[in-house]
Formats: sequence, structure tokens, C-alpha cells
Amino acid sequence: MKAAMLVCVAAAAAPSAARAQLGELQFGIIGGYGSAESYRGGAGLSIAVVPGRIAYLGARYVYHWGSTTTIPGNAADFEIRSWSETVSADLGLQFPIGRVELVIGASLGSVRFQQNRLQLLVPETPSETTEAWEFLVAPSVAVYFRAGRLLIAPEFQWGLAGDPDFPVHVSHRGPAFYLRVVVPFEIDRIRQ
Amino acid sequence: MAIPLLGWLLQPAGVAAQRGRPPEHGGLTESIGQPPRWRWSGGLGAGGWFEGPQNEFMARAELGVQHDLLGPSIGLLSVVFEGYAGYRGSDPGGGFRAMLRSGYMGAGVGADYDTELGRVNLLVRLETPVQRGGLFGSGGMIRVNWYPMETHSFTLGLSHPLGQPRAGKTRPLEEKIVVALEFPAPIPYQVRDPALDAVLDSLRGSAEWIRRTVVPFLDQDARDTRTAEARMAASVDELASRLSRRSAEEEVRWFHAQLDLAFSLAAADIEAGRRAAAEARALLLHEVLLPYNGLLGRKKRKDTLVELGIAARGRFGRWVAGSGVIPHGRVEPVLYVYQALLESVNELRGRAAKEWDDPRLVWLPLQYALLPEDHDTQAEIDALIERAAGQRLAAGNQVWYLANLQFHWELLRMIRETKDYHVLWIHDFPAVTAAGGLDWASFSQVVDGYLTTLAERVERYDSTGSLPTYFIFLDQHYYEVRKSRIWMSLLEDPLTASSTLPGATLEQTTKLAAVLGRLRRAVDSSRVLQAEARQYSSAWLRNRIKVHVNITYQADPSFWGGGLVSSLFGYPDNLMRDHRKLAFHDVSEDDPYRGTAIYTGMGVGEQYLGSSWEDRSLLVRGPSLLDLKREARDLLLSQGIAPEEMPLVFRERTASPQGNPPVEAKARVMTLHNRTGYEAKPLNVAKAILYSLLPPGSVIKVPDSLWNSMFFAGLLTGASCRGVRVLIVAPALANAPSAGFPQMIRAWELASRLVAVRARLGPVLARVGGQLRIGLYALEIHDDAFTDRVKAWQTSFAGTPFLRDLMPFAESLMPVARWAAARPGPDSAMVGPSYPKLHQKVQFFANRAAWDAMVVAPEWPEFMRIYLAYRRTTLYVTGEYRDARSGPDQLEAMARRMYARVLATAGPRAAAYAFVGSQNQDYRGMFMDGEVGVLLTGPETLVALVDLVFLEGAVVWLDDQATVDRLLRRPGEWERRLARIAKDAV
Repeated sequence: MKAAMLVCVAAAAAPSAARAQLGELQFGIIGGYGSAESYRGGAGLSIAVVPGRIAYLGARYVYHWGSTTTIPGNAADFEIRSWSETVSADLGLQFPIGRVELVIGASLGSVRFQQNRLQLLVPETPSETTEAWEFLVAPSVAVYFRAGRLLIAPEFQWGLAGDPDFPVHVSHRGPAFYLRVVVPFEIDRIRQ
Repeated sequence: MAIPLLGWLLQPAGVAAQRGRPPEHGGLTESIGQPPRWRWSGGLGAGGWFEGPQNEFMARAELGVQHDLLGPSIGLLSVVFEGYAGYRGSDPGGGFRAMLRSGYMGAGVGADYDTELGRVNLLVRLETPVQRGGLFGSGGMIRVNWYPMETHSFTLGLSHPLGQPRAGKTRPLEEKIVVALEFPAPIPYQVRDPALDAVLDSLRGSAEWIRRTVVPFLDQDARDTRTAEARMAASVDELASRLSRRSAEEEVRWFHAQLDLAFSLAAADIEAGRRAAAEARALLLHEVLLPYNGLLGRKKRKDTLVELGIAARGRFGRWVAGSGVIPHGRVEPVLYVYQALLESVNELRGRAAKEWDDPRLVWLPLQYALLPEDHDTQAEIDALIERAAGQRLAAGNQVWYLANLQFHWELLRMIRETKDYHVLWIHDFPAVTAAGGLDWASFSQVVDGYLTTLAERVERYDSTGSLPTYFIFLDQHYYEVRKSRIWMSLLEDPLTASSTLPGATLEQTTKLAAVLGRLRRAVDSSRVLQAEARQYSSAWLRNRIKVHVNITYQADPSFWGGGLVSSLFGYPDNLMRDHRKLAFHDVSEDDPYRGTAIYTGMGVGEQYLGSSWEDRSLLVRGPSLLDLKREARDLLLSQGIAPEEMPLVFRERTASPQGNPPVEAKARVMTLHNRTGYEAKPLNVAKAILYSLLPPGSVIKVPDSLWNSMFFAGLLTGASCRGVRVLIVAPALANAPSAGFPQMIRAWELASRLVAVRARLGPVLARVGGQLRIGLYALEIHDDAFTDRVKAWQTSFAGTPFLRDLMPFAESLMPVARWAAARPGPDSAMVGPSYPKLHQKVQFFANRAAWDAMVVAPEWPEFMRIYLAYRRTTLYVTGEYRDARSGPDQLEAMARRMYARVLATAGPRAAAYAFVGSQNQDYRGMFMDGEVGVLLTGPETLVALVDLVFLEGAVVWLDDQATVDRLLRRPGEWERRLARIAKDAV
């Protein structure tokens, strides 16, 4: 890991190639907060190719820790924890506006919703975890700021995932804010 | 009904019978014809139906027809109607579909009515040809039908065009040319000699600087304009720093001195080393550099010089071992040096490909094999161009340089003078204008040219027994855009076509009806024709009395290039057009002087005529035209015409020329065709030779309407670094005939960068006497198209010192200009300003010896007077045919007198060239489109020169960015990026 980081830093610090048509390869981390109970705080990885710095073709993995709630049961209360993992392709168009880059697009992918139900005060009772994979569409808008060799991108997204069939319904759609910190590398054009 | 339909769908191209016989003996002439309005296809598919109680197997046969709605030549959007039948599970069934489909995207979406289910389903279709030419090489596709609302039910199968026998055959199957075929790995030479290695290191370093000097890379990209320009500036500053220490010529001499030294060290003998170096250079030039550079502009596979190098090494090894020059014990070190040289050149090739981000733009400097004195005379440069382009500079031609309107007149004359056959090979033959009326210039060619001449010839047929055969080769793009189907349908079937055309005035309709009536009466009255028609059929008669229309490069979605997998992320060949513009008639191997040809930059149509358009053509007669038959033949073959279908006039034949050349036929001419799409591009090569080799003191003038090629700009910048005086002219935004934003943004980038380069290289250029001038044609006409041009010229030359320094004869032209400025033309009552469009593609080249002798010729005032009189004649549209040949005749005569003086002064060292043709200075012209160019040498180049001297009067020369931004709009960053992505196609 340390070696990989060093390679990334070295590559980022290397002089840029000066070709006739450059795109960007971006590696980075992403973290954020989604208002839906299945999302809440999350963090993950982001990668993207931006051919010609026009089309944004990316992918992300975000683990959302979700939320925990307690509901009453017959014998005892239940602790319900809902969380999710998002794996999506990020497609967008990039527009330079002054010194920043605006990316308008959408994430298309899947969300793995999980829900764990634990009966409180009954230690022998095993917790039950159910999961559901749902299709995700999430329109988004992000703004990329350059900070030295890094790009910092706050992003607003509206998640529209399918409805997981869980014992306890929790919210799974709604707005989310993310912050990406990525290292961009200039790359030659992909196709000739 | 079904059987004739099936027969039509499955018919082979053309009619097999009657192909081998000449038309006068009952033969039929084959042609491609026009693209069908409706195109049929059939398909077979199988898959699964998942919507229901159980999953079911599904198999279907489909029959459909599609009609283009938008962008037919690239298949942008079409509507598809289909029926299908088959089984779902064990139940037979069928249905109907209506879809919108984009062949460009390989996708469609629509409604599918399933008769068994009794409901409409959403259908998404994806198609891909898998390989170029499609499945089976006949346009077949893999087809996926997907029902996303029916639990993702689908079919996967094949589709195939029906009734389109040339589908899958209209483009080359290979998009890339293989540079290195299979070769055995050579056994490397190993020599340990630190002194030799030090020299080789020095050689490598010098070779890299030669590369950067000959073709400096100026097209750096970055996240914004400022950063990109800073990168370019840094690169140019490095070059300037190097050139300030060692000039371009000194670098080349240093390189060759190191090469001599390396071979001398290896041979342990100075004289033997020099002879080895000379042999090495010759083999490097002929076995490696010229063959590789001959691929400029083409996609490459296995892009390495290893195989070419093996041939060179083999021959060099044979010389080393067999010549006796190299001492016996020194063979290995000598071969080691040659190996190192070749490896070095191969490394530089790779570096250039990486830098330009495109192997199509790699040009290996011929300076690696040539000393400056090897390419400073006409004979030396001629030989290099001939070798690199694979064409001869044919002597004994007669040439007329034509301005503007005379193309229209000469085309009419040609059509009417044709005895055997005539070919109009054009990219634009418009039927309607933007205002909706019939294009009068096209109308004139159709009615006064083709139809009237056909009628006259038929009227005389009983006595002459001969009729001319007319061919039109018209690229599909503008055929669709400009509604040329109206003309082509009329010309294809004049015996039954209606005289009522959309947009025609009553006068036009009456005139057309009259000429059609005359033709039909003549046919009916011809006893011989009627007798022949009884023998050969009425189909023969219709084939005889027509213009053979060939709409070329018809949309074929089975050809894609550059895709990651099949057509995924690729781009269609349909984007590549035949941009060639020429016409010829009666060209014959028996008598090279029987026919003539016009090469031009313009199309047929009124937009190209008159004072608001600058275009030039070249009328040629002589042996250089013989290549045209081959080009026409190859075009038809490339479009799917089978060899046995080839019209007889284009078939290959050998004959001994019989005709005697006219006394005036002295011009040396080379005709070069960049073929459409992924085929050979010799025109690029000839230009690159001239840009990269003309010696110090030469003058190069390159105006163009689409000046976007950073590669050509790099070569010309390199020329200026050698001491060449380079004048580049592009149109200002208001004067640009093709002013789309991607083109103009690239033009802005090019102009901006050249202005910056000129400033940064200033001291270097001053040291070697080079100039890099970039100007914008920015003519504004207020009163009279002719006199305003003359006045602009007077003002420009009076106020531009560098023009007067470069062309000291300019002062002597002022009285002529004053004389001309007092002679307005017939449309002087012009309302409001107009901005003539710079569309001409004429380039001029002269080495110092020729230029210095040219500029002191005392004939200049008279030369300019003749020229201005001729321009005035050809500037104003009258719509009437005129014989304006006296102008070009006088210009040619004067040019010959002047050039005789040049030769008397400069001797054989004088070298001069001119290009006239269709190719723009852009990547589309280099990579994609079919182009034609004529390279002239000798006296005739002076006519191009006087024309360009006058043109330069309308140019604003750029010294600062503000002027660039004023005349070419400064783009936004997003536009700049878009233009850069699209740069290969604009």
C-alpha cells in the first residue's frame, strides 16, 4: 500500500506529457453523507477516465454505514441496523467554468442494501441479516477545484435506488453529499 | 409478386450480359446509381422470453425496410418498419415493429406489436458488424433485440442487407497498413568500444534535435489554453536555445560529421568510413525513410522500422562484406554502427508517434540521409518527390491556370466538346439553393451542358454513329445535403423524366421541357438508334441516352474504425468523404493530347461563382492525365463494381501514344490522389517533402480555407528555422467558407500558436534569414468587387514593409494597380459590405535561386496587368458562357518568358513548384477524405505566384494575439476541448 502510494505521488509529481490531446486518469477517495437511513456516512474509492477532459467515465465504490433504530417487539425491542454498499459507473460531461470544472451526470449501478435485526435483551437469539441488490440511478452534479496536484470535488447527488424488500422499511432514496479527493494523471488519447 | 421481389432482392450487381461489348455494339454501361430511398434487410434471431409463467425459447425471422430521416450519408437517424414471424415456445406467432434507428450509434428503439400477445412492447436494438465489411463481408450484422419491459427478454441473431449487392464492399477491409510484416529476428552486432559509443551517443542526440527542428511539435494540450500555450512556449524556447547555439543546417552537418566519424572509427580508416557512411545514407533513404514517410497520414499496424531496417541492413552488410572497401577485420564494427543508426531512427519514430499522439503524423526527417547540398536543386527535389510519392513528374503537358468563374465555363465547354466519354468527379452538384430555388449554375450544366449536348449528338447520330458516354462520380454527403437527387434522376433517365422540378421558375421549366423534348424527338427520329434499340432492347436505349450517375461512398454501417471491440467507441467510415473535384474527357492512351482535365477546389453550383468566392482550377492536357483512368477505375472497384462490370472506357489498356505534343506542351506535372478513407495518401507526402526540404532562402506561400493542420504548421515552422520565408494565410472568420466552430477554433489555435512561435523564434529566424508570417484573409467589399480588391492590395503593400522587401517588384506594380482601380466591374452598385470567401488551395514554392531571379524580372507590371484584366473578366457572374482562355494563354506566355529569364540567371539550380487541388491544410484532408492535387514545376508556377501576390493584398498579417482574437473569435475552454477531440475530422 505504501509503495503504491509512493508510485502515485511520484507519478503525480512527474512533469506532464505534452501531447496533442490529453485526458485525465483520476484515482481518489470519496466520502460523504446521504440523508436516507440506509446511507448516512460513507467512504470509498473513486476512479475515472476523462477523455479530452470532456466526457467523465468513472466508477465508485462507497460503503455507507447507515443507521440504527430500535423498534418495539412482542417480547423485546429490536435493534434494526440498515446499511448499504454502492457500486456504480459514473457518467457525465465535464464543463470548464473559470478555474473550476463542473461535472454533470449520473451514477448508474447497484446498491447492496443490508439490514440486520437483533432482538435486544435476548442474548441467545441470533441476529438476522437480510440483503437486497437494487438498481441505482443517481443524477449528480460535482465541482472540481484544483489544489496543487490534487482535485477536490464536492458533489451533490440524488439517489434513486430500487426498493429493497426488508422486514423493516427504511428510507433508501434522497440527497447525498460527497467529497472526492483525487489525484489526476494526464493521459494520451485512448483511441486513434 | 413474391417471385419478382425475391429476384430483385437477390440480384447480383448489374446485369451480367452485355458487359463486355462496347455500347455501340449493344453493350451496357454499368454504374453505381443512386442510393435507394428505402433499404431492405432481413434477420434471423433466437433467444429467450422471460415474461410469463415459464421461460420460453424464442426464434424469429425478420424482414424490414428503413428510410433515412437525418444525415443519410452517415446514418444519423432512420425510421424502420419490420415484420417478423417465428415461434415462442411451441406457439407460432409474429408481429410488426416501428423503430427509430441510428446506424451511426448502432442502436435503435421502438415499438413491437406482438400479434400473439396482442400488445405493444418496448424494443431496444443493438447492432454491430463485428468486422469491417460486416459478417460474410457483405454488410451483415450481429443483432440484439432486447425487451427491457418484458423481464429482459431478448433475441440474438444476424441481420443482412437485402437488394444492396455492394454492401460490405465499398471500403477497404483493413483500416491499418502493416509496416512490419513477419520477419526473422536479426542477430545483433555487439561491439565494445567506448570511443565509438560516445560518437553514437552524440549522433543520437543530434538526430533528436534534427527531428525537433524539422517538425517542431506545436500542438500541446493541457487543462486550459494558458497552460497548453505555456507548454508550447517551453518547448519552442528549448528549440530556440538549441538553434541559437547551432543552426538547423549546422545541426544536420554535425549529425553527418558524427556519422562519418562513427564509420571511420569502426572501419579504422577515414576514407573507408566516409564511403561506408555514404552507402549507409543512401540505403537509409531508399529502404527506410522514404518508404516509411510514404505512409504519412495512414493508420499503421506493427509500427516499427525493424523490417525496413532489416532490408537496409542486409544490403548494407552485403556492400560492407563484398565491396572490399572495409578492412576485413572491421566488418563487425561497421555493421554495428549501421545497426545503431537504424535503432536510433526507430526510437525517434516512436518518440514522434508519442509526441504527436498519432503514428499517422510521424515524419522521419530525410535530413538523416541527406546533406543540405543533396536537396537544393529542381532535379534533386523532383527525384525525391517522385520516389516518395510513387508518381512521375510527367513532362510535355499544357496547363492553364483558371480563376473563379472560368471553371464553370470550361466544364460546359468540356461537356460539349466530349467525343467519347466525360467524367465529372465532384463533391457538390447542388439542386436547390438556401432560398429554395433551383441552383442556376447546376441548371446550366445540366441543361446547356449534358442535355443539350446529348440532343445535338443524337440528332447527328445517324451520320456519325457515335455518342459520348457521360459519367458523374458524386460523393453521397453533399448529394444528400444539396438535394442532388433532383438532377441525378433527371440525368439518369432523360427519356422519361419530368420537366417539372421543385423550385424551378417558369422560364427554367420551359427551357428544360424544350431540351428534353428536343432530345426525345431526336431519339425518335434517329433511324439508326431505333433500329439498334430493336436489336438490343429498350433497356439498352435508356442506358445509351443517359448520364451514368455514380453516387459514391454510400452509407455503409458495416465499416468502422478505431473501435475498442468491433464498433464500440469507434467511428464510422461514413465520416470519410471523397473531396476530389475534377473533370476530364476523352483521355486516351492512344493520344495523350486528345482530352483535357480540370482539377479544381470548387464544386458545381452558383455559390462557387462570382466575386464572393475565391477559387482556382487548373486545366491540363497531356500525358499526366493518363493516371486519371486508373484512378476512376480504382474508385469504381473500391465502390463494389466488379472488374467484369467496369465500363470499357476505364479498363486498363496499353497503347503506344500516337499524337504529337503541341508546341506549348512543356509543363511538368504530377497528379496526386489521396484516396478516400484508409487508402494511400501521396499528396501528404509530396507536401511534406517540399515543406521539409526546401533549402534556406526559399519562399513558400500556403493560403488555405481550412488551415488547421498543426503538423503542416510544424513542418513550415521547421522550414522557417532553416531560413525559408514562409507565408501562411487562413481566412478570417467572416471570410471563411466553412466557419463551423470546431474548424474555426482549431484555426484560432493554429494562428495563436504561430504568432507566439514567431515571436519566440525571432532572433533565430533573423539569424538564418527565415520568416514565419501568418496572415488572415480579411477582405471586405464595399463598392466594387474588383476595384476594392485592387485598392486593398495597394494599401496593404504600401503599408507592409516585409512584403515590399520580399517582393521588390511590388513598387513597379503600383501604376498598374492605379490603372485597374479605376475600372470597376458590372456589379459596382453593391449594397452593403460583403466578405468574399477564401476557398482556393494553391501553394507556391521557390528556392532562393529561382526567387531571386523571379523578383527582378522586368515583366512584372505587364504580367500583373494581364492578370488583373483576366481576374476582372472572371470575377462577375453573368451566367453566360464565355471563352476566357485568352487570359490564361497570355499569362502562360508571359510566365514562360519570365521563367526563361529565371533559368538564364539562375541556371539549373532554380527550383519552383505550385500545388493546385482540393486538399485543405487540415487533418480531415490528411487522414480521411479523398483529395486530388496537381504539382507543377517550372514556368507555370509563376501564374500561381502572381495570383498569390494579388491575394496577399487582402491579408491582415498577424503580430499580436489581439488581432487574432479580433479576426478569429477566441473560443471558450469547453469549445476548445471539443474542437480538439474532433480535430481529426475537421
